[in-house]
Amino acid sequence: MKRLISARQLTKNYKARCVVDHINVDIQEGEIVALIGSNGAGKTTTISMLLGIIPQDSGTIEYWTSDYKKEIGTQLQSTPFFEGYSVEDNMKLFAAFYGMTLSIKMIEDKLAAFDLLHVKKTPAIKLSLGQQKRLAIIVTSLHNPKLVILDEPSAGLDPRGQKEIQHIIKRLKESGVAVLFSSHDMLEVMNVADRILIMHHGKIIANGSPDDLIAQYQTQNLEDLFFELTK
Amino acid sequence: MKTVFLLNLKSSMKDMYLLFWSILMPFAAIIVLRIFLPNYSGDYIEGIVAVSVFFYSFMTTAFIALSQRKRGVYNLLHATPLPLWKYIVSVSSSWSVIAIILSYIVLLFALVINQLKFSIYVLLYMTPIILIASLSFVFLSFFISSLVKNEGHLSMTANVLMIPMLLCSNAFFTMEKAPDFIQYISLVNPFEWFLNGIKAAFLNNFSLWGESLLLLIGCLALTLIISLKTFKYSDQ
Repeated sequence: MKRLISARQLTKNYKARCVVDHINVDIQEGEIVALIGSNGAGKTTTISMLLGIIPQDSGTIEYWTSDYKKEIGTQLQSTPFFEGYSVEDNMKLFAAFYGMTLSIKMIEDKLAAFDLLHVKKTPAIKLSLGQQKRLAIIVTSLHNPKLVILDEPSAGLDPRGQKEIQHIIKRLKESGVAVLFSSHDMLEVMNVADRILIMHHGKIIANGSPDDLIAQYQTQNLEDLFFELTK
Repeated sequence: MKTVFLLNLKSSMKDMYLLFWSILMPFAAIIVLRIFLPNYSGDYIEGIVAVSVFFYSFMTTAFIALSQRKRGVYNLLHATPLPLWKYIVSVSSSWSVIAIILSYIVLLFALVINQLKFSIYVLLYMTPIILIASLSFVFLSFFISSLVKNEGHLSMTANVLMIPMLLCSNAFFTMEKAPDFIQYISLVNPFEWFLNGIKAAFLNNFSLWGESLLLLIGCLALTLIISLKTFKYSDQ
């Protein structure tokens, strides 16, 4: 498998506080990687550095392509959309950011696949949280990226919404897209992730498949493993 | 860039602040002046058009830019391959087109209310002045919105800049009897250059028009550089 991202000794400090502390992150083609950790563990900062949104203080990030921003789809924690723009206009706008023009059929097909066709003309910021999360994931994949990075895609959703997001992540993998997502939900991680990275106080303290890690640390489940490693 | 321009144009047209502050307020001012100062009301047309354009392209857009940043959309924009300058130029251009349209609307209303005659050449000369000036003010609004943390802070900061620019100009009071230092300030006041450009279009004064246009082009280059250098993607 081709390596898409290889980050080495990545470090970020905010004033005197070290939020990401010399971590290594690799993402391979077509795999689903979950980044888990408590609030403030450094997940969002790590994702922001991998996306090039904030610069790292030290360390290196190598991408499989020089124009990596064209090949990565992004969903941020706040699922932001442009105010005053309808769902379809937000889709057109984000596609334009990637140099793409969407036809009406492409927009409708995407929306129909995510059960959002009926809100095509609705202002995006007026959608329910679950609908906004789904729209955010549509937006991440409009330009057919090789890698999608999702920051807490199911945070704040009800169980049905969470299930839908898990289903969407699996669909992305089936279409050959690698996914890196952050989450607090161990069940979700267990259901979809091929590999997990556990972050604690800015460090990656475990890296492996959920089953391997559970076996290695001899815990009952992922939740126990997480508590064991982060106590 | 075309899609970003068109979509921003479409969404900005529906902005209620635009309707109220940049169209209805100037309409009210034109009517009030016509009723209470019927002999002078025609003299204020350039000032009202200029203030209307200035208010929209500076104040309204600064609030929109701040709101988008606070929502986190600029952070997301940062993760895309679109260069920042393309985004800023695209949205600023669409806001400038709106500024031109609203100047036509306000001007037409003032002409009808005051029953004044008007030559199409005024529009021809006025349009490039409004385009360049409104682009400069929009770039300035990006700069101001990058300096502040919230709407209250923005309102104060924008007023600190806007009120002196308006008062140190010939928009509503003549500068001839103003203290010397105010007159000096008016010489380096981009709003005064803008106003002079519009007045020159009305008076067919080509030397003043050309001088204003050149000064505004210089202002445009400067404000574009400042807005790009200071652009803030997020509050983090």
